[in-house]
Amino acid sequence: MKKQTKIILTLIALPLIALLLFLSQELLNSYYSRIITLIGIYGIMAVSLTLVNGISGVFSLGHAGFIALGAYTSALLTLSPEQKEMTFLIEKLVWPLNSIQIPFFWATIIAGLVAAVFAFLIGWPSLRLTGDYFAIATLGFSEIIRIFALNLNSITNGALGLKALPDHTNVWWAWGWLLVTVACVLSLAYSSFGRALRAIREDRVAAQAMGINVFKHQLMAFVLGGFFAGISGSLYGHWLSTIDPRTNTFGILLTFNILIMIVLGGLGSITGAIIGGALFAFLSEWLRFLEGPINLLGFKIMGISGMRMLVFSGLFVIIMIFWPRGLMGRSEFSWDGLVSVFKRRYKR
Amino acid sequence: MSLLTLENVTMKFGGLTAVEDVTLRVEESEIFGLIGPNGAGKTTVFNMVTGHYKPTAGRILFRDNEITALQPDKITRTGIARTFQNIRLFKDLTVLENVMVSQHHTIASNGKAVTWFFKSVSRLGYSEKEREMRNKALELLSVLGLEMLANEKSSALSYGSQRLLEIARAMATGATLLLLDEPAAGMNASETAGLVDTIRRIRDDFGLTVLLIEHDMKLVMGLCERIMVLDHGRTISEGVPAFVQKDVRVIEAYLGREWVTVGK
Amino acid sequence: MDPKTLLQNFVNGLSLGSLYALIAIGYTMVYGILRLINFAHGDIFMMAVYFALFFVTLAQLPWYLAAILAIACAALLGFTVDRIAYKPIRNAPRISALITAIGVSFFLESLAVVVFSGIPRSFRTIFPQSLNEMIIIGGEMEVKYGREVIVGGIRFPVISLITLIVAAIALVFLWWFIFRTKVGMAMRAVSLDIQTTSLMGVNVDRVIGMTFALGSALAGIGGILWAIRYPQVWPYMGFIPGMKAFVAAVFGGIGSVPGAVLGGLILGITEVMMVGIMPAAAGYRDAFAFFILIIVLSIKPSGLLGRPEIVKV
Repeated sequence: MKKQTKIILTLIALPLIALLLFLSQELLNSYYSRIITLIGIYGIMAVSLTLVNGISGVFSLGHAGFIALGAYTSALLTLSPEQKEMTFLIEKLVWPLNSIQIPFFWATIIAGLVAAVFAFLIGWPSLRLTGDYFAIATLGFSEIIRIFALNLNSITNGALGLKALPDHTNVWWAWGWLLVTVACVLSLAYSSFGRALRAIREDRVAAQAMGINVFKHQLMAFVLGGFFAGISGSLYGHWLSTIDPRTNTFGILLTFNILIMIVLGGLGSITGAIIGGALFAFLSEWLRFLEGPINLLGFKIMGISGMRMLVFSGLFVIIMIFWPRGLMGRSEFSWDGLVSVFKRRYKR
Repeated sequence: MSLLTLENVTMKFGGLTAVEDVTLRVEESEIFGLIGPNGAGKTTVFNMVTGHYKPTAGRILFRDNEITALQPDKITRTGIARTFQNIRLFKDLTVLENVMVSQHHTIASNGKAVTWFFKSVSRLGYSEKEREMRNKALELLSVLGLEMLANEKSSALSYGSQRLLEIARAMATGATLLLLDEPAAGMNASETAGLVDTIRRIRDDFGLTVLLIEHDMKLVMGLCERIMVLDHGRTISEGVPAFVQKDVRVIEAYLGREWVTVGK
Repeated sequence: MDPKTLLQNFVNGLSLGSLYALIAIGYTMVYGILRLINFAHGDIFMMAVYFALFFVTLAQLPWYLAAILAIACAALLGFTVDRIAYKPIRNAPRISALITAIGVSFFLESLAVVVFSGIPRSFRTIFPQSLNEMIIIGGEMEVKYGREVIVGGIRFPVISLITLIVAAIALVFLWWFIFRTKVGMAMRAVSLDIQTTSLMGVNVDRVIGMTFALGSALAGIGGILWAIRYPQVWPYMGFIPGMKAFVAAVFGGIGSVPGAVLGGLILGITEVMMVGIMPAAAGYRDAFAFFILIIVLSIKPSGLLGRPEIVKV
């Protein structure tokens, strides 16, 4: 297929997706449109983690920490001073946070930047470590974030959390940011820089022997991953409209959920990450029936809470053992690939 | 001025001395062979030159600049590149990509990395440099006869082709000194003969200097201009092939003392 | 801090540290052999507590029998986890094994939520009440509010002392097992070189299974002692102690059993002391271990007693 054809197809596809999103807003009820927004948010989370865990070959378990940072940062910037006055009961919010309120877009950008700064600070000491040590160090970091969120009363409102966030996050913000994320990560992954990252993933020693500064490259990928995690955190916080540090919403469970998405989609594939995010959102809604009362052959069974998580974690382990490539392996969506899939169908 | 100089280099791992007091000079544009029985410390010498190990004692100079214990990527950027004994290609990347990766440092080193990073994210200044790298990679692949395989995954290549690809990848770094660790291992006789020609040709055409480790004596004696023999981490002989071949200490090291007395 | 409080904190820290040590041994042994962080280890710790709880409440067994059975079940669970989840991916990249381990950890947690429900339960009435009483050394009798109470003195709970004794016995047993039995010898051999050991005719899979079982049994002992000390049982209770024990293992030098013990004791004592010195920082107690981890990893990743790993080129 010619390059021009592909560009034209892409230019047609993007407005088409936008139109579908628009129709979904008009035709579907608010429950479904919320899920469609959530898919966009999950997509950003999964794509940013794919950049780190799938492409650059470091294994971070700290994604939830960056998401939490982003959520808190932007929430503190979008809440009105009066609301903050009412919310902060244990201790007063520190100046200048208590008296500012800025638009959602800028709050989201700042959320991303704050998360990126933290990614740099945590990456600097711990990216010198390899493999699983790095995983543990980042996991530790995300726990530290959670513990600070619970205790720093004058900034995070401690255990009470933040409530009644303005519901800024809609389909357009979520999917718009998803588009930005995918564009950035894709062009990075398929540039010389991304090639170097993939080389590091394949063989760290050989990559270094070919003149690549492994530490610097991984650090930059990690910081960019942190930035988009912060963005997704801002969107997620304003989607949930509450940030509660006591529940596991922003804890290790969130990191695990994102891991499920990218493993399901195929570790190392950006397309796979988005598909994984969408599947996860649908599955976790659909599997809700497991936790409600079930009518089985006339017998009423009380729903068991926690069943969904059991199914997901079981599925996760089974994928890892029997189907480690996931849906997409490491390959990406391409128009040529799509055409060849249809050709195969047609021949049969 | 020698191109590469090792001065009294020693490498100890805990109680084990892998290389002891080795002094070595490689001159510009020669093909130098490093031989010795298994476990003699040849690969350890390579690892010290390329910065993978830090020598316990001694200095390593490249063009009169000290490179002892620099990071491997820095050493590569000063102009030394290597191949690996147990092939370490980027398996999931294509043959072409493997060679292109080695040129990445030319655009992303010395503080340019951050700029390049943002250029990559935003796709500015992308295609021109990329085309340059691609052309150079294709040229190197055709020198080694791999151009037909450019879009294959490197793991799909035959053993011999993988060894050649390792050489192409090392050359693409722009290095002037190539360290080849057993380039002929696993090759059949005709492939080996081809390899001898290839190494000579790249030396002449690209103005390279080659330091190689090899067990195939026919290749070593035919190709190398000078040879150093290591045994148990020490230098036991050094000189032109004809001299080393007749050196009693070398025969002893390879075949044992009894063989020498019987042979007499 | 006055000497009395210091001693008091020392005993409590030592006993907390010995719990970390018991869990850390399981991490360090598995890592020594498979280079795998067994994320599920903390959840085996949790499961052991639930087993004990249910042997007492449902099966109406006496507490000591319940404890022994629970430890045996933990060992069996560790063995099973290895067989089902880790054995099939023995030759996969290390990172897949790590991801699988995370999956197993969440699977066990959600299994506990489904089977035992996510509501925290009390462990207090399960074991003899006397374990939670205070040992008081020194101090004076005073009459307050019409009752005789002891004021001052060094006080620590009975369970602290019991923990120390049980941990010491377990460690002696472990030492005997590793250095004086054939299986122990095989374990040491496997941790040095898995391939060569299998060529020597050792059934490596069985040895690895035994390692999981042994480590899990120790975690089970730790879990029950933990639950007597902090008597709240819930499915996520294994996460924090598990992570801290892992930190202890890294601190002591991962792969080294004495290192795990030393790391656990140091971590326990410093944690209790820190809270003793700065009561205001008590909320950050759980973050403390991770700070230590990040510092240790950036200064000396091989830990106190570990050997640095040489990257083979």
